[in-house]
Amino acid sequence: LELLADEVDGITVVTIRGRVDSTTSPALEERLLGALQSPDARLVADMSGVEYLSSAGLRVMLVAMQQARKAGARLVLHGLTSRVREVFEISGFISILPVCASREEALAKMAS
Amino acid sequence: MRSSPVVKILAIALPLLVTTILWGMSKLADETAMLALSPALAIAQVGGLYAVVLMAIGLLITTRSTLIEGIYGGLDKSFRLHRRLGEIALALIVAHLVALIPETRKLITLIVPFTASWWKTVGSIAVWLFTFVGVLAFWKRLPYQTWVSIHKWMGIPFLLAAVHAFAATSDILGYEPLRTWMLLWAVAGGVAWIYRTFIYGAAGPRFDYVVDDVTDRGNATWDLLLRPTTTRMNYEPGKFAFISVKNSPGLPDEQHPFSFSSSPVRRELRFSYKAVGDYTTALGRVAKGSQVEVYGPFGQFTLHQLGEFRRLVWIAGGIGITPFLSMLAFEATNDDFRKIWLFYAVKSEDEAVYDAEIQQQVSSADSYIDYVKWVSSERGTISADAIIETTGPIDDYAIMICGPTAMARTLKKQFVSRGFHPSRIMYEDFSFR
Repeated sequence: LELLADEVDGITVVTIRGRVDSTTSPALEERLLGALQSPDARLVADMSGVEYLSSAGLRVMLVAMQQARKAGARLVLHGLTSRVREVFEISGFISILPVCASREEALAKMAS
Repeated sequence: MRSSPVVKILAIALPLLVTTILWGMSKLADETAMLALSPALAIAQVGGLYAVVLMAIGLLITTRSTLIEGIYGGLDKSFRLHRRLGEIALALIVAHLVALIPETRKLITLIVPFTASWWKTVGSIAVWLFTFVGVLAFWKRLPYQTWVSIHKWMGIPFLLAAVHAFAATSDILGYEPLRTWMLLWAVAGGVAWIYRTFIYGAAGPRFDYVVDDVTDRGNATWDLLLRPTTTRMNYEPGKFAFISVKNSPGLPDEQHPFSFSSSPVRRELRFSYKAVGDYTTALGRVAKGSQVEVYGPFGQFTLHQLGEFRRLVWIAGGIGITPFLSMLAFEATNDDFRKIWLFYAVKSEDEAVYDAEIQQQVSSADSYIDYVKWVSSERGTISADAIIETTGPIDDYAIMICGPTAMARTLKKQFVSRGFHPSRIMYEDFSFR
């Protein structure tokens, strides 16, 4: 799993690449939760490089969303590959997590 | 895909239909036979032919062929059908005899051997043997292995019945298509019996293993771990195998079915079982290193059968958790995401011996699994209503049930009455006797 962080107009963009499973999800959880501690935190998770997402990865996304709500921060996902989108749809998470179609849409949503 | 109900019905109905048509054509081809035909004689002749065909199908089922297993939706269901076919064949034989009474007017020649012609004697011996062996199937107190040892000779009354059928009626001998058709069934049944009785042990799908470990999980539940000595068996989670322990004191050399509870990616096989009889109790004391022959894999209770469904409800009753343990173990590596609700129904807390293992496996599973341990002494008997109340709407889910037969059938009925199509409900039923 490769995690790259970037700042765009005060918005943190975390690019996730590789497999998110029970082995790699703790690292992702640590990174996302670390970026969602303050009330003004704004985080965009770019998932276009995610090759596979298991239930452990889904749980990280759920925990990150709960942390964002708890801290008053904001979290948006984008770049879901067809395989990851299928996982979101099967699990029903597609209706729970904030998912944008593109990076531009995600950044615009954060800026608004 | 799962076997179609139409195919299941056709696999029995078609041979009987062809038999009826050919028998009818044999009458049309022989004016004398047609004139001599009475309703009673028709029942006797058709009943006899049906009995031979059904017995042949029953013997074909015992070969544990993958093709036949596929048609009937699993070996458990195939063997239930085998038993049902035996019952029907027995009823047809009785009908055959009763219908012949007006014709012969001498009941004694029909049922007492050596009181009439040789082919009648062959027929009456077949009836007695078939009745004796068939009735034993209903005698539950008979030790399993004794019953198996006797039941395996069922091929002899079948062959005698076939000889009787060919010798007794001019319908078969006098009409080539019917003769060929019945010869096919006689040969198929005979070859199936010879293969299963004399050849299967050496030529069947056998793998050699040794006992690596036996673990007492508590509550009379055991894990048997086997290590391959040569080629390992490949199997799908949810399947089962017959195992036979060799040269082990207290364990007769006989085959018993057990479900895998291990992941197929592991080299070792793990079988989990509850000690409910003499054999399974003795198996808990088997020595490490004992040789074991494993025949299989068998069964259709696999995720592959429900491949089009990405959302599933798994319901296990007691030791019925075994196939789900195998599926859960495989979940850590299969990269095949599903949404799953797993219900582990047990009577009391101490019966939930796999609770900790399940919790560990759920956390590392690829699929998103919601796990519910259902202790019926606290929450009441598990039911479709209670499950749906827990899960919320599951209209697009498929349901897999493994547990005691009564529980599995009751749950299936409840789900069907709640509007679930039967094709979306799969249940495992181990009854080989």
